[in-house]
Amino acid sequence: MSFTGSKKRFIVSIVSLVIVLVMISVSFAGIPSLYKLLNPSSGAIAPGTSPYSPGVTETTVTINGEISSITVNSQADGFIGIASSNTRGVYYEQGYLEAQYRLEEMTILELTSQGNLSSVVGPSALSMDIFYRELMDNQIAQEELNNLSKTGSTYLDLQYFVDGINAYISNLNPSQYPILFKLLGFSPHPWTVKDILEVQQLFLWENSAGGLDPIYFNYALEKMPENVIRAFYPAYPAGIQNPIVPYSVNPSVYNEHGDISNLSLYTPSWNNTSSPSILTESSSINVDGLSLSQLLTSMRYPYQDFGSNDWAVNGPLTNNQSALVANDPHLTTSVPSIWMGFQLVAPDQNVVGVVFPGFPGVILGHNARVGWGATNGQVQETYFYAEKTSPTNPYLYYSNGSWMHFAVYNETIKVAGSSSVLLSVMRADNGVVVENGNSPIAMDWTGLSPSYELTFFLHIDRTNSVLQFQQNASEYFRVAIQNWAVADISGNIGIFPYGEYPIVERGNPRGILPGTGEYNWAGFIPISQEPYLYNPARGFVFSANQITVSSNYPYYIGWDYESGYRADEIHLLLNSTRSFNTAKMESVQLTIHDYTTNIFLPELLDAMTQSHYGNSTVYQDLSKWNGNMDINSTAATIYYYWIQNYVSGVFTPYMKYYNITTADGLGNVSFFLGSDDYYHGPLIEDLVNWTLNHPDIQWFSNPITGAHGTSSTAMMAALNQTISNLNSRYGQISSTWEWGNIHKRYLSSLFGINSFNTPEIPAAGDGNTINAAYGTLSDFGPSWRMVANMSHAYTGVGIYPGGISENPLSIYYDNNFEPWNDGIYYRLIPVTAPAQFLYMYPGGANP
Amino acid sequence: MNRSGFFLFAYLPELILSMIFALSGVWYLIFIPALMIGVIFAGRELKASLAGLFAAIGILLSIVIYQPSYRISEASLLAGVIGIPLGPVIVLLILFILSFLLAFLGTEIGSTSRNWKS
Repeated sequence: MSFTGSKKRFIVSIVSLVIVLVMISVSFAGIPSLYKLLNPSSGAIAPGTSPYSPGVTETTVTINGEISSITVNSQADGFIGIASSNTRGVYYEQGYLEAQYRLEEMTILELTSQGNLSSVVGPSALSMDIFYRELMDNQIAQEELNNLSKTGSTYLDLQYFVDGINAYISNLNPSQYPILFKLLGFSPHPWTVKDILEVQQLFLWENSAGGLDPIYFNYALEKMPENVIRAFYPAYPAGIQNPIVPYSVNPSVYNEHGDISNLSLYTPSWNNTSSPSILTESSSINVDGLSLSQLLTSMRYPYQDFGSNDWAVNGPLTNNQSALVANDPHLTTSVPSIWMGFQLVAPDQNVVGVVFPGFPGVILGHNARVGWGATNGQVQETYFYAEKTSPTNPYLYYSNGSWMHFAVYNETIKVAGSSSVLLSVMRADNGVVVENGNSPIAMDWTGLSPSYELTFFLHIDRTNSVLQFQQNASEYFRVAIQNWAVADISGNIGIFPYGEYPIVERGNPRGILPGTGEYNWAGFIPISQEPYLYNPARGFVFSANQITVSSNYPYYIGWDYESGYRADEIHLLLNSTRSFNTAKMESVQLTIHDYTTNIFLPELLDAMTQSHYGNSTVYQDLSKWNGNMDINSTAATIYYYWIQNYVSGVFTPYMKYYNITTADGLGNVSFFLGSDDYYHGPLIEDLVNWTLNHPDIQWFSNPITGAHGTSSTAMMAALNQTISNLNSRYGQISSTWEWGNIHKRYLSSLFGINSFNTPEIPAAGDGNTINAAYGTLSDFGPSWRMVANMSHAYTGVGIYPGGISENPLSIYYDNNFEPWNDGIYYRLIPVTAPAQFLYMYPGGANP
Repeated sequence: MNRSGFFLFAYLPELILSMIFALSGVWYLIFIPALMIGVIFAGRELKASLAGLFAAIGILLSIVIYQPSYRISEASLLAGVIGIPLGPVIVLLILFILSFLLAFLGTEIGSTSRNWKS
C-alpha cells in the first residue's frame, strides 16, 4: 500500500468515524441520540425490570425510623392487596407499587396538571399546558398544601404515599426506565405532596361537567331566535325523565325560593357582536393566550367522565335482607388503564376498589361496612364572564362600579425543542381569563379555590355507614360533583350529588355573562337544599348522568345532561326486579337493551308500513328485533345508524339556516350535533317529545327548502339514507351487517401511541345501553364494574379493562380486556388470600 | 498469520470486547479496541470488514444472551413508537450497521495509522 493511499484511507476513516460518532450522538426531533436509545445495556432494548408476578410476598420497610411489616398479595386480575399493622406502611407500599407499575402514567398526569407537558413532549402539548396554567393548579395546590395541618392524617397519609413513590424512583437506574422515558430522554424526579394535590386539581377539572359549553351555547343564543332556543334547547329537557332526586321522593330539598325564577335562560346576556360599548377595545395585555377557536379545539380530556351508572337497592327489592350497590363509571378504556386495583388493610380499615394512579387510597369500591359508586353529576360548574377592561389600562377590569386590578401571575413554560413561552395568567374576581382577544373571557370554576377531595377519599375508605359517608361528602367533596350511590352493612342506601352549586341572581348562565359584577356568583346552594336521597321507600337509588332534579327545583344547576335513556332502562329494571342478589345486579349492569327502541321503533315501523315498506327485509328484521344491541344483530346496525340520521336529518338544516359553523362548535358538542347527540343533550330528547307528542310540529320542516315535513317523513328519510349508506358500504343486508362486524371495542394507548393499542374485538351495546360502548370503534365505556352485597361484602366482585402493568410487553398489560368485554367479574377479595385480607370479615386475622 | 490465527487473535477478541463494551453500557466505544487490534495487526492481512462484522455480532450477542425474546420485543415496541415498519428488524439492523461501521472504521484507522507512520 502506498504512503499516499494509507494516508488517504487514514484520513477518510477518521473523518468517517467522526461523522458516525456525531450522527449517533445527536438528538433529533425530540428523540434521544442513537447511542443512548440503542444502548444494549441501558437503552430501549435493555433487559427489563422485574415483571409483575402474582403471589404473596412479605417485606419490611423503615419509614421515618419506624419499621412496618407489609404483606403484598399480587393478583393476576389487576388487584394488589397490601396489609400492614399500621397505616403508614400501607400508603407507603401503595405509592411504591403505583410507581413500580404506572410510573409513566403518573408522570404524564403530573406534568399535565402542572402545565409542563410540553417541556417533555414538545410544542404539541403547548396549548394544553397554557390551559392548565390558566387553571392555576400550581397556585391552588400550594394553597391547599399551606392549609393542610402537617400533623393531620391527610398530610401524613399523602407524605407516606409520596415516600413510597420516591423510594421506588430513587432505586431506579436509567436502564430500568420505562420505554417512553427513554424515548423522551426523561428522568423521573422525586414527588412531593404538592404534586399529588396538583393531580387532584387535574382530576377535578376533568370531572367537572359543563366545561366550555357556555361559550359554545352563546353562539346559539346569539344566532337563533328565542322561539327556536325554547324549542330546541329547553332549560328543562323535554324527553322522558327519571331524575336522580325527584320531587316526589324527596320534596324537602324543593322548599327554598331559589334563583331560577330570576334568570333569563333563553336570551343572551352578552352578545359578542352587539356589545361594542363594553368590549370592542383591542386589548394589548401581554398574554400569549389562545384565540377562542384555538382554545375550543385544543382541549383534550383523557379522564373525561360523562357517562356512568350506579345504583343501590335495599328493603322491598332485597326482601329486607341486605343492601347492594353497583357502579360502572364510563371513562376512556385505555392501556394502561386509568385505574389500578388495590385492597388496603390496616387497623380499622379493609377497603378494596380502584384508584387513579397518583392518588393514595381507594376512590371507588367498598370496605367491610360501606360500598359506594359514582357517576358524573353533569351539573354546571363553569361560568363564563365577558370582562369590561379599561380603555386606558388593560390590567383593569370593571366590577360592581369600580375598576379593579387583575391579579397577574407570570408563568414560563419550557418547551422541548423550542424556546420557552412566557404567559401572564390574569385572574378577576369572577374567574381566570381564558381568552384574551378583543373581549377577555374569564371562566369561573368551583375548582379555583382550595378543596380537599383527597381527604374525602381517604375518609370514606374507613367510613362505617351511609350517614357517615354523607357527612364526609358534605364536608369535603366540593368540586366535580358526583352522584355518590352508597349502601351499608345495616341495609341503608343513599345517593348524594353533593358539592358546590353556584348561585347567580340574574342573566343567562347557559351562555356568557357580563363580567361587570352583578352576574357573579352570589354564593352556593345551602347543603340542606342540595339534592339527596336516603332510604327512599321505593327501595332504590340510581343515577346514569341523567338530570338531577325535577323541573320544579328552585335553583339553576345546569341543563346539558345525558339524555337519560340508560337511566330509564335502569329505572325500568329496578322497578321490575325483586330479590336482588349479586348475579341480578350484574345482569342489570351488563344489559345491552337500548331504551330508545321502546320509543322510536314502534313509530318507525308504523312509518314504514304507511310508506309501503311493510314487506321489506329491513322491516322484517326490525319488527322481529327486541332492541338488544347484540353482536349478531343486523337490526341493531340499522337502528344505530338510523337514529343518528334521524337526529342529524332534522336538525342539520336548522344549523345551516342559523349559520352555526364548525368554529361555533358544530359537530363538537351534543347540542350542535356532536357525535354524542343521540345519547347526550337535548336534541334527541326533543325528537322523543316531538315524535311521540307532536308528529306534525313545524321543526320537521326544512327551513332552507321550505319543504313540509312530519315525524314520519323525517324517519323515512333517515331510514332511506341509512339503507343507502349500508348498501354502498356493506352490500345487501347479510351477516356483514351484523353489529359485531361494525361495532368493536379496543383499549387505546393512554399515551396516544397507536402501536400500544390492543386489537379490536366485536362488542355489544351502544351509547344508550347500560353496558355502554360509545361509537362504532369504542374506547370509552365501563372503566370499572363493581357489585357488592353489603351483608357479606367480602364476596364483592369487580373488573376493570386492561391490567396492572403499563408495560406493553407484560402479559398483565391487557389481560383483563377480553374477560371484561365478555362480562366476567372477579371476586375482589379472593378466597385464597391470606387471612389478614379478610380482616373485619368472618375468618379474618389482624393485619 | 493464517485464517485461524486471525480468528483467534483478532476477530474473536473483537467479538468478545464488543460484548464486554456493550454489557458495560459503552457499546459506541467499540471503535477503540478495534483501533488497537488494527494497530497490532497492521501490515498483515487483517480485514477490517471482518473485524467490523465480528464486533457487530458481539453487540447482537450481548442482546441475545439475556432475555432475548423480551429484548427483541422491546425492539419491536421501539419500532412501533417511532413508526418504523418490519417490527424489530430495522431497529436491530441499524444497531448492527452502526456497530459494524464503528469497529470497521476503528480497525481501518488503527491499521492505516501504523502503515502511514512506517
